[in-house]
Amino acid sequence: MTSAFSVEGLSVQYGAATALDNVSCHINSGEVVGLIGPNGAGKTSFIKAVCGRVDAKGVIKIQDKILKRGMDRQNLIGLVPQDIGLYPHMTCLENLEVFARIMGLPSEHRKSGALSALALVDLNDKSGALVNTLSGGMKRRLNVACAIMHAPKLLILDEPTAGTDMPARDSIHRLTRKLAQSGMAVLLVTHELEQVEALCDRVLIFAKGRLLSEGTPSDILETCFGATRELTVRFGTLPTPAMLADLSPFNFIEGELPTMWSALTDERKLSMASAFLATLQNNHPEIREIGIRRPGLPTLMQILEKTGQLP
Amino acid sequence: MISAVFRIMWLRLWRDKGALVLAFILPGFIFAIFAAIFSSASGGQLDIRVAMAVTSPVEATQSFGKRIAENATFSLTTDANWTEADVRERVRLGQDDVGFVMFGDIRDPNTPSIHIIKDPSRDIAATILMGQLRQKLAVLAQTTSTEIFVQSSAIQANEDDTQTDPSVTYYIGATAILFLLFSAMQGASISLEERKSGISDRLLTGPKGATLMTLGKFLFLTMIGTLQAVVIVAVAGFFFKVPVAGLALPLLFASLCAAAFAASIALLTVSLCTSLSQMNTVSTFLVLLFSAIGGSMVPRFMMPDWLQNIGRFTPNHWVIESYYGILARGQSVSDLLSVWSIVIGATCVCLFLAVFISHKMMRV
Repeated sequence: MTSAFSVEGLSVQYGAATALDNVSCHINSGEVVGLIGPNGAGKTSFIKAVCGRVDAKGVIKIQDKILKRGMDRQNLIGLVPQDIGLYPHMTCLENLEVFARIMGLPSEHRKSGALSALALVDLNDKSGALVNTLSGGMKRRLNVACAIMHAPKLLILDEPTAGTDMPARDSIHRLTRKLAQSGMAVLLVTHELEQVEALCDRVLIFAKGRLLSEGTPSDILETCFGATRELTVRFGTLPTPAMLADLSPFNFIEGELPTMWSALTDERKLSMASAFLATLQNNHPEIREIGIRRPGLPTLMQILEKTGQLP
Repeated sequence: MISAVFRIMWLRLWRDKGALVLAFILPGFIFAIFAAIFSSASGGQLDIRVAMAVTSPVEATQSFGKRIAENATFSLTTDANWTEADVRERVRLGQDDVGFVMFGDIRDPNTPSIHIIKDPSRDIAATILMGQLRQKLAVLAQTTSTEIFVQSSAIQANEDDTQTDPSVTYYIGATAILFLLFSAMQGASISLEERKSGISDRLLTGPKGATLMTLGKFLFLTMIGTLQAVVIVAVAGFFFKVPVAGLALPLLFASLCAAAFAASIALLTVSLCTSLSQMNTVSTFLVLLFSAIGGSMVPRFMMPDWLQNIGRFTPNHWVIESYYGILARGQSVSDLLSVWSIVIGATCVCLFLAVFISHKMMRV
C-alpha cells in the first residue's frame, strides 16, 4: 500500500493556546484510520489544518503533493461534515450536481458523477426527492455521496453516523469500507469507539493536541492493557453506598452510566475475580449483569479522559 | 463556483413561495399604497372628516353654517342639536379628524366666533380646516384675498404627462431601497444556514472558497434586487403614469446600483453575525433605522436638521436621490455622477469588508 496522505510536524496555535503539537502520521490508500480522543484533543483542529481552514506549521502531503498555505485542495479532499451539510430545499440530484460544480468537476462529468455517487450510496430511486423528505439515514448517506463524486484521494468522515439507528449505521460502515476498497484513504473521526474497533485498520489517539498512540486497535489495546482484564458490573437500579462498599476489594470506577461500574485487574487474579463477582451477584439481586472481558477502546478512552494519559 | 451559488440561491427563492412573493409582488404593492397615500396628501386632495355644531343664535352665523354644509370641500358631519360637547366627543373618539363650533358673530372681526376642536395627533387636519374656513369667510366678506397667491413648481412638468406627482416618484426610490434591504438581508441569511448545517465546512476546503461564495451571493442578490427595483419602476409607470419609458437606461443603472448597495450591506451584516436569530434582529433593526432616518418612511425635509444630517449616512438617502434626480428633477447622468459615485464607492467598501471578514473568519 502507498501512503496517500501524510503530515509531518503539524502544529496549530490559537493565540497562546496550542491546539496541535508536532503531529506526524500517515494514511495509506485503501486504509480506514480512526481518529479518536477526548474533547479538546485536537481532532477538529487536525481536520481544519488538513482542509486549509486554519494556519498550520508542518508539512501536509496528499499523494506526494505538498499542500502549501493558500493552495486549493477541493479536488484532493472529500469532507463529510458532522452535520448534514446539504441544502434541504434541493433534491438529492441537485445537491450532488451543485457540489460537483463547486468541487470543480467538468460539466460533462457532473451528472454521471452525481448518478454514480447516488448508486454507490443506494439512493438511485431518490434522485428527485427533496432532501427534507429523506429519513435521517438517507440524509447521512447522501452527505457522504456529496463528498466522493470527485474521487478524492483523502476522505474525511466527521462523525458520519451521529444520530442514526443501527441499520443506518451499518449501512454507512459498509459504505466506508467500500470507499476504502476503491482506493481512497479514509479518516474516520468519531466518538463511537466500538465501531472504530470493528471498522478501522488503524487508530490515531489524540490528547491535548498530541498524537499519543498509533497502530491497529488490537496492537494498541495489547500495548496499553497487556494481560489486564476488565471486570464489569451492571446494576438494575442506582447503587446505594452499601452496594458500592461491597465493590471495594477491586478498584471499581463509574462507567458511561451511573449503573455501570468497571475495574481493571491482572489476568493472574482472574479466578479470584470470578469468585468475587459470583458472590457479589448472590448478595445483591439488584445486579443485572457481571462480566470479565479484555478492555476495549471505550475503557481506554475513559482512562484517557480521567487521567490524560494512556495506561 | 459562482454559477453553483446562483443555482443554490435561485432554487431557494423559487421553491420558497413566500420569499418569492416578498421579492417580486409585495414591493410593487407596497409602493402603490405609499404612492397613493402620499400623492393624495401632498397634492392638496387630503380628505378630512369634520364635525360641525352651530350654537350661535346670530342669523349670519347660522346662515354661514348652512352654506358650509351645502358646499363643504371636506367630509362634514353635523346636527342642528349638537353642542360643543358633542363635537368634542366625536373628535376624542376618532369619529372625525377635527371639529368646529360656531358660537359667536362671524361678522365681528375683533371677537372669536369659531372654536376649532382638534386631536393633537392630527394637527394638520386643524390647519387645513382653518385654511378652508378662512377661504369661505373671505368669499362671504367679498374680498379677493384668496387670489393673491400664484403657485408654480420648481420641477419642470413633462409636456406629455401632466398627471405625475413628485411624491410618487419620490416613493419609487424610497420603497425600492426599503425592499432591497429587506430581501437582500433575507437572501444573505443563507450563509448562516450553511454555517449551521455544516455546508460551509464542505465548501471551504479551498482558499478561494469564502471569497467566491461571497462574490457569488453578491452577484445573485444584485441581480434579484435589480429585478425587484424594475418591478417597482414598472408599477409606477403603468399605474401612476410616471414617464419611465424614456428614462429606461438611467433607471436601470440606478436600480443596479441600489441593488448592489443593498446586497453589499446585507453580506457585510451576515459576515459579522454568528447566528440566524442574531442576523434577524440586527437586520430588522438596521433596515428600519435606515428607512426611518433615510427618508423611506417619511420625506427627510419633515425631519429636524440634525436628523436630516444623520440621514445622509444611510443608503436610503442616496438611492432616493438617485431615482428622484432622474424622474422628478430631470437630472442628467453627469448631474447624478456624484450620487452614483457615492453609492458605488460605498458598495465597494461594504463588499470588500464582507469578503475580508468572510475570508478571515472562514464564514461564507
